[in-house]
Order: sequence, then structure tokens, then C-alpha cells
Amino acid sequence: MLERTVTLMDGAMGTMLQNSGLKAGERPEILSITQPELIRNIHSAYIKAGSRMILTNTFCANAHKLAGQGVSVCEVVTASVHRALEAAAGTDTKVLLDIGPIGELLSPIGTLSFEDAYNLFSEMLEAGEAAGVHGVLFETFSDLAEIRIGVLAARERTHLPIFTTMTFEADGRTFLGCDAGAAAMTLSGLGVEALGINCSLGPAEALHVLKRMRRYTDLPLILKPNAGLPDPETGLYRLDPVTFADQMEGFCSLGVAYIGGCCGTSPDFISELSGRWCGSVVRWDKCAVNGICSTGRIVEFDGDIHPIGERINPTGKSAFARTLLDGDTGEAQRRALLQEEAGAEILDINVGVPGIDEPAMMKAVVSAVTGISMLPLQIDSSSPAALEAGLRQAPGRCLINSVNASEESLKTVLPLAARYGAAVVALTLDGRRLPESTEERIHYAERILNAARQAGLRDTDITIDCLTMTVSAQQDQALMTLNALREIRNRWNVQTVLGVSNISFGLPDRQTVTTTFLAQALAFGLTLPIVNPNQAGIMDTIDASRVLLGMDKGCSSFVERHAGAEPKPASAGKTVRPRNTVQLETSGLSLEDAILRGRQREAVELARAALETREPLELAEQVLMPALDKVGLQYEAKQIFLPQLLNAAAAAGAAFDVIRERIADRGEHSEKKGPIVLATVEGDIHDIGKNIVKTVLENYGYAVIDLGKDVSPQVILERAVASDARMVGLSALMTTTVPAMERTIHLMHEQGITIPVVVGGAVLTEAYAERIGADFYAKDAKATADIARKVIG
Amino acid sequence: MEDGYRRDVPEIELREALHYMGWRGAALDPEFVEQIHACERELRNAAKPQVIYRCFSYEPGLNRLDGTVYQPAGRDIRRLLGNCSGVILFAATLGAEADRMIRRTMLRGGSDGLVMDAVASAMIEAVCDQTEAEFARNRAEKEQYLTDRFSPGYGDMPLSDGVLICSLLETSRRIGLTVTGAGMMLPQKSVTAVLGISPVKQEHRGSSCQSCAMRNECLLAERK
Repeated sequence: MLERTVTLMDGAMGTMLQNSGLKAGERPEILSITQPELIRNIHSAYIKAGSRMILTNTFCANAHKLAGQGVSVCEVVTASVHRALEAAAGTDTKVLLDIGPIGELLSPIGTLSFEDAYNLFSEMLEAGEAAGVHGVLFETFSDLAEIRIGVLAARERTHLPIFTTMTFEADGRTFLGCDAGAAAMTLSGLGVEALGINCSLGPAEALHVLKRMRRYTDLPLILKPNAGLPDPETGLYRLDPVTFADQMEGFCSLGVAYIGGCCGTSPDFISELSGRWCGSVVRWDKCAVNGICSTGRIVEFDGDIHPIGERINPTGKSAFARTLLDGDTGEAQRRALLQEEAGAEILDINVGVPGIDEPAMMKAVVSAVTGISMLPLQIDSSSPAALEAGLRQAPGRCLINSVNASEESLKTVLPLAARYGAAVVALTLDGRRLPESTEERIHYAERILNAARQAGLRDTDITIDCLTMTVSAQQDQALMTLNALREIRNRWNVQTVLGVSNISFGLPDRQTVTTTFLAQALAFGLTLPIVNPNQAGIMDTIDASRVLLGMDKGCSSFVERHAGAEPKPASAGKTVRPRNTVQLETSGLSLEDAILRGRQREAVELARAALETREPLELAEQVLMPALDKVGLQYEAKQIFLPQLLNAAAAAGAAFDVIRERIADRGEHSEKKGPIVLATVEGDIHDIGKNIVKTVLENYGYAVIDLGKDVSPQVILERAVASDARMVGLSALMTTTVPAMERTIHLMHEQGITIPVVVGGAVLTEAYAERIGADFYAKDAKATADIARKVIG
Repeated sequence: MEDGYRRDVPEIELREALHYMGWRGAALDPEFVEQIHACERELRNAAKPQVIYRCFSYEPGLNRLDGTVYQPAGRDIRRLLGNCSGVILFAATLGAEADRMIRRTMLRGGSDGLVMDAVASAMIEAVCDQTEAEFARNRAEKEQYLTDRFSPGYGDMPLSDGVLICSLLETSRRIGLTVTGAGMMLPQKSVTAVLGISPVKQEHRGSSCQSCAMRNECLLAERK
């Protein structure tokens, strides 16, 4: 049992100021300078009502929000802190620096960079500490990534105790989809003093949100809710002090040790709370759950099987490696999505390509993947700098892959895990020396566990990797790995991880060996298998193992996923599957029809069938290209519209892939044309237009390097030059971002780059395109493809 | 059903979604219609519509919302509010999860992303239309009438008004709607708008294209 005496915090500042005549839309922070008496009196009223922890009038006092107000962050923060300290003088009241969200969303969703956010917070924090605050409260955040950056800045730039509260909806998630439990798990790992919720709705709705937090943290909880909802006609809040305080009852057993109010509350509310709670002690149970999380999803280390997807790793995948070198994170995102859809619960991220700036690329890929997937991450690198870059960027609690039993590794990796509150994979080897027996594996595991405990980690933070050796080379090792797995799970309260595919290297029919080994390892106690979930048989084996090991209660997940599955053919080897089975489905449809109607699967089968009798290039030139031309004409004539054009282009693209495969099978080269570099310009986050252009260009046979959205002129220029681009396509949707397009073209011209630039976007016109120096204006995606044909061929 | 700021996911019209895809009446095969419905089903699971609004007294001569520092900018909005005694500021969003779903769908290639984006546009419009109808019903009881819904970007009303509306309604902390430095709303499927409240019956314009500054360039504009 843990316990704590309740501390009374304060109520709303903004509501009090509005009652004193502050107009909606005015910046309240400046009043600390212009009306010191007003601010000091509000603080005093709260202290008189019983508050022993008050917040400075600095919620929005960041440089971004104060821009154009004629005062500096330092001035506003210092004045605000002084007002609170003046009011607190002679009492035992603590003053916390109040910091709210910056007001812009972080990249990759918005355009605010990690570094800018960090600096904006640091500026406030340093001013606050210098002015004498006793601690800092980050409040009203809905983005876990953003509050995490604030906490990192507070830890790294000040010595202040850190408190955090976020604002959740009734369903226990923030507007950005952050789960209350994930917030608790992540922020606890970063060493804050207490955490909880503020603002949101009324106290009644907070109960189950706080329960969810309690499950994942030992820390005392904070509750500062609104006085219910405001009336849209009057702007007044609906709860009175007594009802508010009534609703705050019942939180005791959750360990809510800091209470106060947010919007709509006043000193009367605090008085009412003080009368009921002052001096009371709350007790709560220690947290028994460990795991990792993203902002939106938690994987608990509960002994159940949680597959880790291994496909975001460029080792041995030259095409994927190429996209990373080009600065294009789209393929990494696509791999994330495919693995998630196949059933991966954690994503391994490895960007180790020779010659790459690994920390920068790790940061970029982690950012890109978290923009589209809610799966928790395993940050995988042999470079401590890349590990740290990934850990800083990932807005959740990650798994580090990996530490080993060598002094060097223990010394560098374990402190990273402690600093970022991460769990860590422990390889049972000493530097380069591989273990040769079960005992040796256990010995290394023990050495790492001891070091981890000394570094401040719990056993449950550790995930042991007993190492898979290739069975065709070292046959005795497979059983040793399995025995070590069982022994380690018996001895310690740890998870186990194992990359299984290595087992079958050098053998025919690898799938059979790999899935069998996977099933065995799971039975011996493997909980976090590292697998390719998109490979046949892998997820089936995991699903079945969960049934056989009693994890899938009542076989319900298995039944859900496998109901209606066809019995497997007697022998499912490569040779058994006749090539033309699908022809039945496609009968009556010509390849041209399939493309015109956008039927991708049929187009692939018909292209395969056609290649039985025709030459690949002939098929491309005589069927695919003319079909695409026809689609283009239909589009121009408005007989079909954009989605149909895209479907047709995708069907043609799939057929082209079949042709390229066939040419490659013969050992000949078939390069795509290009490359074409595409980007949505700096400051612009609308990328649908650019994405549509990309789909069309790729399916028309061009190699596209997609730099994403909000891309600076410098990066576009560098990538275009480095990749020897034949054409650059720029997109901007808003009148406010077209100037960034102009700057990009300008910079290219200035540097003497003559790569043709095509521009497009909703607010652009032919005349405007010319004025900003573009070589071509494309009114839509089809027009871009026509221009590409003119420029590149 | 109203639950704080939350609204139910509204039904959408196929035609509306098709409109946002640039459809001009071309023949639709059933597979394509099914594709739209499939995207809609996925989006319905992700969308969390939220609406916030506040009513203010308004004096056309001063062009200021009472109790605020806000003065709607541009001649068009002033004309619209010419005989109004009140103003409703209004913001709505489908939420961050809908955006994420669209981004994920984009990665699949093909037209799913575009289709889902269009379905989402139709959906946020439907949320706005429903809320507007709610307002109209409530006002009718008081013998008050609403003007058309007018959003930043319509006519000569600058996008920067959207930033002010969001700040006045505190959309960031109330419904999770933020604005980037370049004036773009996030989540992307969001709307800010102004509606006038008048004691006099209002004429409604029907299509919103007529007052749009981009109507001559826009591929979607309904041309007469």
C-alpha cells in the first residue's frame, strides 16, 4: 500500500479573469505585468480558500502564443511567478509554473518540430526556475508526444519537480487518441512526481479515466476537473461548488492526492473541497502491471504472446534501403501498416543502412510510423546514438533492441533505458562471443539482470533473447535455445524475445522449419516472437499456439480469425499451385477491360496468363500502354472521374509489376523511368493531392521519391540533386503556403539547378505557376503524368 | 445524441461524397459504389464528430461580438450580418482518428484514400448541416432567423478569422481542433463558421460555391 496526504491545488485563473472583465480572445498572461494587483488577489483568494499549491498565470506564456504582444516570455513568466510568490509569502503554499500546450500540433501531424517545441518549453522553464518557482505543472495536454517533450525539457534544463495532467474525453482518450493508461505508463517512466487529469468534463466523468491511469502507475494522481460543461448561450459552467465537491468523493481509493479545479471553478469550489479533504490521507495499491505502449495502445507483459513485426529493417532489402537513403519514409509506413493488419502488436524499427545518418533516419522513420500506426515500437540499433534518437522521438514507452552482457553495452544501453523509461531486450551474449550452451545463456541473462537492477530497472523491464542459431550449421543449438527459454521464464519475472526466421537459413522449405521452431519456442516460454507476420503460416502458428497454451480463452480469438478458413490442400508447396487457377474468375474479361474497370487482381492474373504466349515488352507496349491512354482519354472526356482513373492506373501498375518481374526472372534489367521527386511544400500539411499524383505516376511506370509534406526548400533541393531526379513535383493547397513553393523554385534557380519543376494544388493557376517560376503547371494528376511523359519519356 | 461536445456520426449522401470526388454524372459501376460504402464503413468507426459553439450579442454598426475582441473581417460577412442582433461562432471536427484513418488508407495506393477523403468531407458537412438545423429549430421558437453559414475562406473573409474563431471558442482544449502557423486546421476534416441571428427572415443562397473566391478555378464548383 502507498499513501499520501492530500494537497489542495487551486481553481481556474481564466474564469476568474473573465469575471473581472477580461474579454474572450485577450491574452490573460500579460495582466501579470499590467494589472499585478488583480492577479495577486486571485492567487490570494485561492490560498485563503485552502489551496496549498497554486499555479502561475503562465498557461500560454510561450513565445509562439506571445508573438506580437510586445512582451518577452521572460518578462511575462517572471512577473507571473512573482505575483504568485507574493501571494504565497508567509504561507506554506507551493508555487508551480503553469505550462499549457504550445497551441500547434507537432510533426508528423502538424508542422511544429520536436526541437522547436523543446526550445519553446525550455524558455519558459528556465525563466520560471530563475524567478523562483517550486515546481512545474504541465496541464491540459492532449498530445502525449508534446507533454513528453515538455517533461524532457524540464528534466534536462531545470531541477524542478514535475507534475503532469492531460485532458481526456469521457471514453478515456484525448482528442488525439492518447489512452489515459498509456499516458500514465509513459510519464511514470520519465520520473514525474504525480500525474493525472485536468479540464476535460466534470468530476463524475473522470472516475474511470483515473482508474485506467491507476492500473499503470504507482504515482499519486492529480484531479483538476471543470465545473461541468459551459452553457453555449452564457458561457457559464453548470456545476455549483457543493455538487462539484460531491462528485469528487469516491476517488480516495484511487490515490488521488492532488485535487483542485479547472474551467468554471473559483475559490468557493476550493473552500468546499478544503472543508472535506484537508489533511486527509489517501492510500492505494502498488501497480502490478508492466508493458510497453504507444500513445494509443498498451501491450501488457502478461505472459501472453505478443508478436513483434520485423519488416521495418533494410538489411538485405536493397529496394527498401534505397527509399531510406532517398529520404522517403513511405515504404516504412507501408510496411508498418501491412504488419499491423496481419496481426503484429509491436513494430521493430531498424534503419541500419551503410552510409546513412542513422540517428536522423531513426528519428524520421519513428516519426513517420507513429503518424499512421498506433502500435508500440521496438527501437532496434547497434548505435547508441540511433537508439537515443528513436527513444526521444517515440511518444510512448518503447522496447530497446538491444543490450548484451558486455561491459561496454551494459554501460551505454542500460542508462538509456533508465533515462527514457524504456524496457530493454537483453541478448544472451558477451560482445561478439556467442553462447554455446543453455547454461551460458542463463549466465549472461543473470549478468544483465544484475546490471539492470543496479541501473534502476525492474526485472519486468527486461526481455531476454536466448538467440536463434541456424540449425543447419549448429544443430545442437536449437534445443539449447529452447531449454534456456524455459529455464529463464522459470527463474525470473521477465519476458522473452526471439527472432525465429534465422533457424531455417540454408534449408529447403524454410517455412516448415521456421513455423515449427516458432511453435516449439512458444511452448517453451517465448512471449514476444520477432516475426514476419505477412509470411504464410506465421500468424496461424501463433494463433494456434495461443489456443494450445491456454492463452486464448475459449478459443474465441482463433475462431474469430479462422472461421470459414478453407482446409489446406494436401501439399501446399510451390509446385502444387497451378498458375492459371484464377482464370476462371477472369473469364470473359480482357486485360484491357480489367484495366479500364480498375480491377487490379484480375489485371494481374490476366497479365500472367498473357505472358504465357506474349513477350513482356510487347504486352506492355501493345496492351498496357494503349489501355492507359484510353483511360486518360475517357478521363479527359469526363466519361470517368478521378477515383476511376486511379483504380485503372493501379490495375495497370499491378500488371506492369508482373511484366517487370518476368523481365527480372530472365536476368534482364527493367528500370522504372525517372526518378521524380514529389513533395508538399514547407508549412503545408495537405498531402492528398500529392499522394494522388504519386499513385498515378507510379502506375504509369515512373519511380517516385516521395518526400512527404511540410518539406523545406533545402531538403527538396538536396534530395533532387542527390537522387539525380529528372523532374520535381511540388504541391501546395493553401494561398498561405504557395509562397513556400515559390521559395523552393527560387532556391533551385539560385543554385543553378535546372531540373524541370511541375507545380499543382487547389489554389494554383497556370498564370500563377508561371509567375513563381515553375516550368509546368499541372491542373490534376493526369496532367502531371502527361508532363512526365513529355519531360522524361 | 448530445454528449457534451460529441455528436453522432451522421448519415451521408452518396451524391455528396461523389461531388467531392469531382463526379459529374458519369456512369457508376456497382463495384465502385461498394468501394465508397466500404470506405464509409471504415471511416464511421474512426470518426468522432465534435461540435462547439457560443452565442454572442452583435451590433452591426460596431461589428463586434459582445464580450470579445473579435470583429469579423471582410465586406461579405458584414453584409451577411447587416440586420443581425446576434452571432453564433461555431466549430466542428471529425477528430484526429478520422485523419489517421485517411492517411492509412492513402498508403494502400489506388483510389481508396481519395474516396475516403471525399466521404470524410461529406461527413463533416453533414455534421455542420445537422448542427445548423438544430440552431434553426431553437431559434425558430424565439422567432429568430439564421443567416447562411459563413466560413473563413468564403468570399473575402480571410483564413486568419478561422484562427480567431478557434481561439475564442478554445477549440484546442474543448474539441481538439488546432490551427497551424499557415492557418490550416488540424484535424483536417474540420469547419469553423459564423452564423448571424436576426429578427428578420433571411434569404438562403443554396450552393456555397456562389460566394467562393475560387469558384472560377475550382474543379468542384457547381457552374450554372
